[in-house]
Amino acid sequence: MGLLTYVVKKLLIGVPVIFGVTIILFYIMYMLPGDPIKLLLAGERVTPAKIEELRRAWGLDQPVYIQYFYWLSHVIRGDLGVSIVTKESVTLLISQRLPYTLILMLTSTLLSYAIGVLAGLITALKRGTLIDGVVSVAGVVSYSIPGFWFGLMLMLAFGYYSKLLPISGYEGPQSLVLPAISLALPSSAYVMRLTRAEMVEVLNEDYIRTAWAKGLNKKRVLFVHALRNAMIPVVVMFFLDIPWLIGGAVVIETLFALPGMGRLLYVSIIRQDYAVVQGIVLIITVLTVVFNTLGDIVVAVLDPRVRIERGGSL
Amino acid sequence: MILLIKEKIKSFSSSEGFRLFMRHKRGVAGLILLSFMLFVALTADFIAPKRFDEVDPSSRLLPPSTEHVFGTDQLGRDIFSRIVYGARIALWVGLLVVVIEAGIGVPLGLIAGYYGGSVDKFISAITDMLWAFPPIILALAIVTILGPGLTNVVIAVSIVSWAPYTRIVRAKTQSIMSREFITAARAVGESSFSTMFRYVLPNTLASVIVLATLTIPSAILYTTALSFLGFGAQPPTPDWGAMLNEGKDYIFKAPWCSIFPGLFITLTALSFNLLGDALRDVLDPKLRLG
Amino acid sequence: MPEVLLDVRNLQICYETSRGCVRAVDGVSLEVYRGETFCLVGETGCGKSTLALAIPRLLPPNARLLNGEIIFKGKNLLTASEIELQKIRGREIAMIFQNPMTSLNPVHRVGFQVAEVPATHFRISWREALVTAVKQLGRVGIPDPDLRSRDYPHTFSGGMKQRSMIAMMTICKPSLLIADEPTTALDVTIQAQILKLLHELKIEYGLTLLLITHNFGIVAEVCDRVGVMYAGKIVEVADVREIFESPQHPYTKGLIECVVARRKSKSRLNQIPGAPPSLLSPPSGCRFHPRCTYVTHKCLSEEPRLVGVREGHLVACHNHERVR
Repeated sequence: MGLLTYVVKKLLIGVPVIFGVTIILFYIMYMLPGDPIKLLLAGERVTPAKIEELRRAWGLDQPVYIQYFYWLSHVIRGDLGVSIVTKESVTLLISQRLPYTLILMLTSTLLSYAIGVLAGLITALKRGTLIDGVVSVAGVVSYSIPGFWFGLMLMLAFGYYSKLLPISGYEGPQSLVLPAISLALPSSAYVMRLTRAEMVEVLNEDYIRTAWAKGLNKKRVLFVHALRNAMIPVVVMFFLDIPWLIGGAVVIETLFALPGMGRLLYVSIIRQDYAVVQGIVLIITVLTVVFNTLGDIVVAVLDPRVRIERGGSL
Repeated sequence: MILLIKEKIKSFSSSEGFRLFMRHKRGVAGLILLSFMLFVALTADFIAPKRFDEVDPSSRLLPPSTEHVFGTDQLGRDIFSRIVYGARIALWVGLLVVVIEAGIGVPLGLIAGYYGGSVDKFISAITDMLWAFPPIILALAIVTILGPGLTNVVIAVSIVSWAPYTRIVRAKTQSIMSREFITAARAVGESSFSTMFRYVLPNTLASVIVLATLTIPSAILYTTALSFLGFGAQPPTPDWGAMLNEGKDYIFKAPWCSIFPGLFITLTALSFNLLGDALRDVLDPKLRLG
Repeated sequence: MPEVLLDVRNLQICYETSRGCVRAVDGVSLEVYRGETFCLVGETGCGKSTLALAIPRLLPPNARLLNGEIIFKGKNLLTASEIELQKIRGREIAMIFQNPMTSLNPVHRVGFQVAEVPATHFRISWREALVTAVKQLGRVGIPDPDLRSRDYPHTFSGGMKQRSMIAMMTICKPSLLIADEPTTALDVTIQAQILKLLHELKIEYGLTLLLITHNFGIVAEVCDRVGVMYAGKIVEVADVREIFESPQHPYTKGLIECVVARRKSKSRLNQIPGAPPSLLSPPSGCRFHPRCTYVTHKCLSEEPRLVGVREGHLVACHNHERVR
């Protein structure tokens, strides 16, 4: 099948997946402890009849699947509900914070891959030498370091010993530097290993020998033939890694007091503001599916063998 | 089954593999580091000068000294003692998470690889979907439902990351299935369950052990992250992540509260990673891409 | 006197392994004349592929050159610089490999991969290179070459992939074409087609063909001269007719009898008993002595040298006169 058919197919699969996850998501939220009504009233003394009335008004007396459709119909219209705590629109809250998180995620992923791919290529080409050994060990240490501790240490270094970069709040793009580094470092080591492994494997392939046999120069063999193949899994991982970093973003944003979606999630969980939590998790789900689908599409663009439909797992 | 394992261990220790491992400098370093951590964890009662929950308001936030090797925290507790007891928690948690993950992931992988077809597709679909989702978010969701506490964190992290086990075991099972002795076993009338258990499983063990060694560090990192957010171990439990959570408020006044717990998390994760790398190079180089 | 195109002198190559350096090619000397088809025959592991790969210096990184020279058009390839080698590879010395399935880059179109060769060696534009590539693909028997040149390798069958390789490696009309078991991985029916194609191109372009194979049947069909290798050494060299009519080395005789027996469908296949020796610690004296039916005491202690028996016929055996 052609590239276009493949892409359309992947996009179409994405939609039911999102729906499926929203159902699971909604059910999880439904199971969360804490009675929203009680929170709403925040200690006011009300008669049980009034509580029942409120419950009916919010639709909380209906069975689960009706509540789901209720919720879904709102979501499609862009209404993610209202924060039980601040009474603001959830959509508004999230849209104010999402850009910060997205920028953080993108920059840290880019940084992570820039470092990782470079290190990986160097170690692949200089296999077995001292450089390889040193960089590899540095890599292993990197992904043993907890990102949040690294962030704390960076805070210490820059907040105390040298006031070069801001460590709290958002004052402009420079506020994202330390958080991005904290997120990027541990994952860059994984990227390095992947790049190295792929490159080494590709360099041992027969078609590289063919390339040499044709009389091509070193630069051409490495870039046009070797890298072009080795980088495929790496580029795909790039897209898949972006949503993965959201998890780390929750911790890092909280630590560095950034006004992002991750921190909002954390705060909302603690305040039991489940409407917000629900909204955020929905957005994260959508982002995950979008980036995964992008990754699938990118594979097909880069690797012509994938475009033929094959059976097996997704 | 036990006899098989004993045999494998015996043949392994005298094999070339063992010698190869010993030559792997990083692996040996990892082993030494891990042994050190284990030693600390096991002898915590003896080497800790104070109890981990012993509060002393007069000695709050003291820098490292001969009396308090790592200093004291905001409640006057000796950090060194807390770190030492924390080793127990970290190792125990790591082990528990991996055991549960393997307990879920390995059978699923076996079933998927053995039966193939729609069973495989179903299991693979769920596994892939779960794996694509940012793990911390999912773990947070689970912890929110179950409530805070170390046990719940263990459960949450295990549920979130059994996917690699399923993947590896499935792949291994598929390759084993194509070998003749399986057809022979079934021709003789062995039941599916027995075939899986007696023939397929032992051959996947090497890969599973390597994977386990390599996923313990992420288990430790995730659980400490959740504790850092306040959802895991509750005070006064000396979980290293929780210690970081408490210490971060005093990062400038008393940096030692934050430096040491994180350092030890790193060292512990590092030891497993080094060890796991060496094991993998020796036992199953194909796992390189994780 | 025929012109010597390739002169291999006392070549010694070993592969570094954890157990020591395995001597894959141990003192091989050989001449290939311009315009001929020279077949290098031997069992798997005898060193023939190593010898072939050594010529354009395409050996894997763990290969060590211990000794020897490879003279091609007056130049020793083993001491040539990387730049000089790049000019020679694909242009004057070309090589096709055993496994066409893995020898083409999966992410580039076939036309692209073929066009790269003239684009690198000749001063032509990329468009001209592509046109030449399409033409060459047609010449090697790919139907609809213009359309197919835009396809990716995985859409090609094994035979077509090998044809594409041949196109790639003959498009610059090299002087020497080395073919390392070009048909081993292909169906028998395709084998014949590929051999025929190679033969046609040889005549049309005036190529010299160095064919590596373990199949004496192929030798009988296409070769002018034959060199037999065993355990890293050359044991016999002769014209193809000579070698079939009067082989002087016991090993050669054994190999030929296998082919002949099969052709005559005798009820029992003649076998050479035993297995090839370890190249890490080969047998003393003549390496073939453990499997030889003509073995004498001398064979265990003294290694036989390659001597001329008749015009153009060399053999390394103490008892070659007794071989009938």
